[in-house]
Amino acid sequence: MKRGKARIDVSRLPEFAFGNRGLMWWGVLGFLAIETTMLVICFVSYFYLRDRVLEWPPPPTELPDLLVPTINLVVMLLSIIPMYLVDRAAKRLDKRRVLIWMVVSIIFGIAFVALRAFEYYALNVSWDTNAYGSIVWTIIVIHTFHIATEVVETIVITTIMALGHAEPKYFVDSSDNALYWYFIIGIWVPCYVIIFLAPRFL
Amino acid sequence: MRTEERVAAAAEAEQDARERGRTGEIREGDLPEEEESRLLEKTWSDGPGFWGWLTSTNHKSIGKRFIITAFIFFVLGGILAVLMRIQLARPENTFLGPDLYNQIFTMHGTTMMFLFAIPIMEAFAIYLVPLMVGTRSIAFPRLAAFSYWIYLFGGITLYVFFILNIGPDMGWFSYVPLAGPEFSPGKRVDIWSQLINFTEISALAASIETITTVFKMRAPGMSLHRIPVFVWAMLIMSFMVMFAMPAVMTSSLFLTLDRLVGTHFYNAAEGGDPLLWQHLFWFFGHPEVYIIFIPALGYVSSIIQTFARRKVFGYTALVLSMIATGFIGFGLWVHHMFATGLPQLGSSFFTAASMMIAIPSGVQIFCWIATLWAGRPRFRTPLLFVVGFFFIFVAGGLSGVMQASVPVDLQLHDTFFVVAHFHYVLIGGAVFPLFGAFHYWFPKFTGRMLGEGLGKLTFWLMFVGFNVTFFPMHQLGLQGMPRRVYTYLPGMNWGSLNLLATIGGTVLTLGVLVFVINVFLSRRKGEAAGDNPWGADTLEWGTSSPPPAYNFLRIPIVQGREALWARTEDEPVAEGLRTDCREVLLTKILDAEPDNKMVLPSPVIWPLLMGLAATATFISSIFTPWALPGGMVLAGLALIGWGWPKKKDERCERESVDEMSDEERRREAARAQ
Repeated sequence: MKRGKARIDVSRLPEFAFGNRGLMWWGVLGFLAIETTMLVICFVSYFYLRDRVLEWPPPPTELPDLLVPTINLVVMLLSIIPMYLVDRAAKRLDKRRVLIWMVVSIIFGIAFVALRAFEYYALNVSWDTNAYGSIVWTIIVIHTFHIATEVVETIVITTIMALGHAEPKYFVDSSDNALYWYFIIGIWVPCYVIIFLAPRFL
Repeated sequence: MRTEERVAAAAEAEQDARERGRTGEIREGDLPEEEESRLLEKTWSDGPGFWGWLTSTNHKSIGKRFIITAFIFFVLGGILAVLMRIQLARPENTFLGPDLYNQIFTMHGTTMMFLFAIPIMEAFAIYLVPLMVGTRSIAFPRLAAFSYWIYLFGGITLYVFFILNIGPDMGWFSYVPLAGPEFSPGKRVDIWSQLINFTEISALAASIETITTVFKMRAPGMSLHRIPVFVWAMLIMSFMVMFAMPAVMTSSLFLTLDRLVGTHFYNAAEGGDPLLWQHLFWFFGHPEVYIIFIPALGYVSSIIQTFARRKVFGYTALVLSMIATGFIGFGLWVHHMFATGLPQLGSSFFTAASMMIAIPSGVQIFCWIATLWAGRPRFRTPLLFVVGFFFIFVAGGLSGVMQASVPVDLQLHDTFFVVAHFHYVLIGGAVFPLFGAFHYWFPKFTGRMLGEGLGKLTFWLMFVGFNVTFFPMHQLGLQGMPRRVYTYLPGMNWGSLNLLATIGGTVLTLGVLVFVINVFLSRRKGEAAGDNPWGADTLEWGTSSPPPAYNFLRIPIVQGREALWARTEDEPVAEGLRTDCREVLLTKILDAEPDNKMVLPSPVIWPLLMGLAATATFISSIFTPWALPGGMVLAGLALIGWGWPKKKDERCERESVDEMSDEERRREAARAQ
C-alpha cells in the first residue's frame, strides 16, 4: 500500500495488552487445544480398551491406591490460588506481588511434581503388564511432562523478572502462563477420575 | 468505544509518555517516503549472509523455503511412483524386488502425504496469509522458523534411512499387527513413527501461527464477512490440523511404546486391540484428506474470482460449506474400515456421513460454476488447472460416493479401484489447484510471469497423463487386481491396462518436467509482472512483486470484501506504527478494529537449535527410551534460550514498570485490560 491520504492514527494505541487482546494468549490457547485433544484421545482409548476385556482392571492386576493421588489432587487444586494471585497482580503491573506469588506457586509446583513420583507406585501396575497398565501409564506420563514443563516455565519467567526485567511484556507472559497453569491442573481432574476412580466402577 | 474515541482517550496518556522522555522512536510519517521505506526494509529484513539465512524469521523467506522443500519432496515421491509404474508395466517384471517395492510404495505414500501435501499447504499459508490480511508478519515468527526446520530435518531423516535400506515397508498407514513388534522387527517402523512426530509438530505449530494471524492481525476494516475465501480456507485447515493431528501423534506414540518398551496397546493377547490403531489413524487420516483439500478450495476460489473478473458467487454459502466440510470430515473415518466387520449400525452411520459430505462439495462446485457463468472468464493457465480440477475431482467424488456403500466397498477394498479413487481425489482435488496456484502466485513470489505457452503445455500433459494413468486403474480394480503387489501373473490379463497406466505416468512426469523447466526459464527471463498482473482483488496484489520485507508501506484500511476492487480513490491507510522496530498492529477478532500494538521478536538462532534438539531426541528415541528425558533437557534448554531476553530487543521494548510512578502504572494497566 502507498501512503494513502485518509488515515487513522494508531500511534497512540496501547503497546501491550492482557488476555485475548494479545497474541501470546492465543498461542497458549492453541497449544492447550492440541494437548487437550491428545489427552481426550487417550481417554477414548482407555474406554475402548476397557470394552475389550471382561473385568477391569484385568485380573490379577489390583486396583490403584487412592491416598497419595487424592492428597496430590488437593495440592494441585490449591496451587490455583497463588497462581490466580499472580495473574491478578500481573494485570495490575505489581512486580512485587507477582514475584511473591510466583515463588509460592513454584513451591506448590515442586510439591506436586515430587508427589507425582509416589502416584506412580499407587498405580499398582506396570506399563508392560497389560493394555490397562499401558494406557494409565501413558496418561500419567503425558501429564507429568506437562506439569514438569509448566513448573520449569514458571521458574524461568520468575528468574527473568527477579533479575530485574520488569518490562510490561513479562507481566503479560506471567498472566498467560497462569492460563496454562489452570489448564494443566484442570485437565488433571478427568485424568485422576479415569486413572484412580474409574477402575472401581467399570 | 469507537476507534476514534479510543484513540483520543489514549492520546493523553501517550502524550505524557512522550514527555517523560521516550525519545528516539521513529514512527510512520516521521520520515520522507524513500528514507522510510529504506528504514522499514532494514528493520524487517533477515540478517546478512548465511547466518541471516539460518536465523530468518521473515514469513516470506520461510514460506518460500517451505514451498521449495515440499516441491522437492513431491519430485522425490514422483520418482518413486515412476519406479513403481515401471515395475508394474508388464507381468512378472523383475525391475524391483518385493522388499524394495514395499519400501518404495510406503515411502511414496508417506512422502506425498506427510512431506508434500500438508507442508505445502501450510507453506502457502505462511507466505500468503499475512499478506492477504494486510499485516507485516506472521503471528509467531520464531515458531514459523522452527516449524520449517523440524519439517526439513524430519524429511532428511526419513530419506537418509531409506537410502541406508532401512526405509519403512508396511504401507503409509502402518497397520498393526504388521507394524507391531512381532511382525516388523528392526527399526523400519520406528523411523516412520518418528517421522510422524516431526511433521505433526511442524503442522501444529504452523496451524497456531495461521489461526492467530487471522484472528488478531487483520488490517482495520477486514471484519469477518470480508475475509478472503482463501484465508477462510487456511483458517479452517488450521483448525482441522489442531484436532486431527493429535490423533496420529497419540497412535504413533502408542505404536512406538509397544515396540520400544513393551506396552500392549495393539497386542490382543494382553487386552490390546489392533483395531484401535485403525480407529485412531483414520480419525486423523480422513480429516487429513480435507486438510489437503480445503486449502485447495481457497486456491480455486481466488483463481476463479480473478479470472472470471467478478466477485465470487455465494461467498457466505462457500464459507459455510467449507466449515461444514471441516466438521463432517471428522465423521467419516470408519468408512476406511468397512472391511473390518464393524457393527451394522456403525456402518450405516458412516455410510450416511460419507454421502452427506458430497452436499457441501456440491454447493462449492455450483458456486464456482455460477461465478464463471456470470463472469467474463479468461482461460489463462491457472484457470485451466481449475477446470481440470473440476473434471478430475468430480470423477473422484463420484467413485467416492460409490464406495460409501458398504457392499461395494467390501468388493473393492484394497484393490486398484481404491488407488484410482484416491488419486483422483487427491491429485484432482489438491495437486491441480496447487499447480494453478503456482502459476497464479508465481509473479507475486518472484516478480516475473511464468511462461504462458509452457504453462498450457504443462496443463495438457498433466491432464492427459493423469487420466491415462489412473482411469485404467478403476478397471483393474474391478478385475480384481489388489493394491501393493509388486508383480502379477500373465494369466490375469492385467498387463495391457497396466502398460497403458505406465505410459500415462510418463506423460504426467513430462508435464511436471515442463513445469520445472518453465520455472527455471521464467525465474531468469520471464516477463516482469508488476504489482497486480492479473487485476486480482486480494491485498497481496496491492504491494510490489516480490513484496518488500515489510510487506506494506502502510497498513491498508479495508473497505469491502474484494479489498483492492473496493478501494476508494483516497486509499485510506492506518499510520503510526514504529518503523525502527518490528511493530505490528493487532485488531479485534470480529470487526478488525485497531486495538493495540506489539513488537515482534528479532531473528535468532534458537528455533534452529530447538529443531536440532528435537531431531536428536526423535532419532535417538528409535534406539532407547532414555532419549526422551535427555531430549526434554535439551529441548528445555533451547526453549529457555529462545525466550530469554535479548540485548538487541531492549531498544524496542516498553520501559520497565520500575520506572513508572504509581499513577502511571495504574493507567497503563487499565489500558491493557
